[in-house]
Amino acid sequence: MKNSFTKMLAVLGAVTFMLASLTSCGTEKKEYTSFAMGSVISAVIYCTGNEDTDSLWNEICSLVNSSDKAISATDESSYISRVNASGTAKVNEYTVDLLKKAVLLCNTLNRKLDITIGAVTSLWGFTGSTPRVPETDELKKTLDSVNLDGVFIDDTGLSVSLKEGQKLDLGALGKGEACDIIKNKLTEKGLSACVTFGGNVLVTGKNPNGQKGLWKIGLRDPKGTENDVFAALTLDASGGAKCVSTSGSYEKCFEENGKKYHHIIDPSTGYPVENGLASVSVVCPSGLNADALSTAIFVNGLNDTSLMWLDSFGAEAVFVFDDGSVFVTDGLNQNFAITKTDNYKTVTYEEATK
Amino acid sequence: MKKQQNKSFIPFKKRDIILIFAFLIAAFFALAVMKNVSGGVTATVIYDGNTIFQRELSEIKEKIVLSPAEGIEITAEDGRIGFTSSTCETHECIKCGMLSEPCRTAACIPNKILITLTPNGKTHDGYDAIGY
Repeated sequence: MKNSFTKMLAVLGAVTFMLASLTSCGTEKKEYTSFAMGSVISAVIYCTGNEDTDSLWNEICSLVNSSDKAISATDESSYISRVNASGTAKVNEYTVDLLKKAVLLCNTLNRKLDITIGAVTSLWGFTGSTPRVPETDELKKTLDSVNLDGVFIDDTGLSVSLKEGQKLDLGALGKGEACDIIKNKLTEKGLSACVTFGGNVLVTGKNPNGQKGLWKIGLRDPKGTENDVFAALTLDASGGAKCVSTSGSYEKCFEENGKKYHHIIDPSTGYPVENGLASVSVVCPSGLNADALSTAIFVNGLNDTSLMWLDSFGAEAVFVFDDGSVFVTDGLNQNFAITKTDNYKTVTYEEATK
Repeated sequence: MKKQQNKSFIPFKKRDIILIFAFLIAAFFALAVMKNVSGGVTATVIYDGNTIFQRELSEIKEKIVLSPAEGIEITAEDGRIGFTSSTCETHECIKCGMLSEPCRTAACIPNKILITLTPNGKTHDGYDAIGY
């Protein structure tokens, strides 16, 4: 009897040890929240306990704030604000590099995204408390300033000059660029993490709590409130980080004379895009590219050119239309599921573009 | 003689082996359940980088009103939490409504206040993040 009891005790001990090992898996979950670029950055970082994630997070925040200090349109002391105020100004190396990348992106995307749209977006005032529909004449005049050819970047003298009346607006790229800064620091340390910055999401490494190590990302319901989700994406970031950027007509919008105006401006017309799209979510290894693609594709609509852009950047996308139809590119089909099946349904490319 | 050697090589009786397997099955079952069950939602209120409130929503039985800054009110009741008053111009924080589901957030950027709902326990069936 005594012998049997001892054996049972040994087995129980072994089972307890095994359970403890399996449940802990050696990972610790650390959560961080900060404010930057007028948005909230939230991060869940998984570590084995040896990494000093507190210092890492402080370093990340410092780098993101430095980026904001360089490109912010609201901070009068930023390099971009100085260029906008006087038409020419000295900048730092980081700003030169970012502007060169931004100009290249805009040209690659057929200028459906244009960083010289600043004077037009200022007229609309989407970031202020009193947005308004500009007068047709003033909009027409201002629209002439939207031209990438007027931007001169001197990368040896570290200065930027604009054509008269031009203003830079890097609002469509700032958070994407910040996601890349965060991604680089996290991957350098080999950490698994999920970071949200405004509406942008960055996942890297295996999700210790996710099924098969995948990350489950909800996509906002364009017809719902900020926290309503219409679909789920499951992303595998074990082979490299994934960034999700969404451009939607529900963000920063206002109503005037019964008509709703959203903040995604077509650089060729100066007016908010009206092409039946409610949102475009782009999944891409680079945050900057994801941000640029989601805006440019929202402006360009769903067509062969947009699909070619996605292909060339190694990106995938979810297109949501006002009527509830959803087109998902091939590479995401297996990782996408609509949760609000009463309001949304997936369609083929032919159905979506007819 | 040979038969006796075999007997001493296996220290467990048949009954013990059945019990070991029963324990192992129970342990794996418990682990599977633990990995899928969500243990509720914790609401956290962060003001200027500091956590000023953290409670499991289901534990809040009576209405709680927080006022982290002048003119700001955050109300928690009936398993929900949200901004109910704010000094910001756009009132985007109030428009987020009352939150109850995990991984949802409401932020008042000008006042640097964030409400975030996180799932309890190690794993959950919800979202890791929401893109918008």
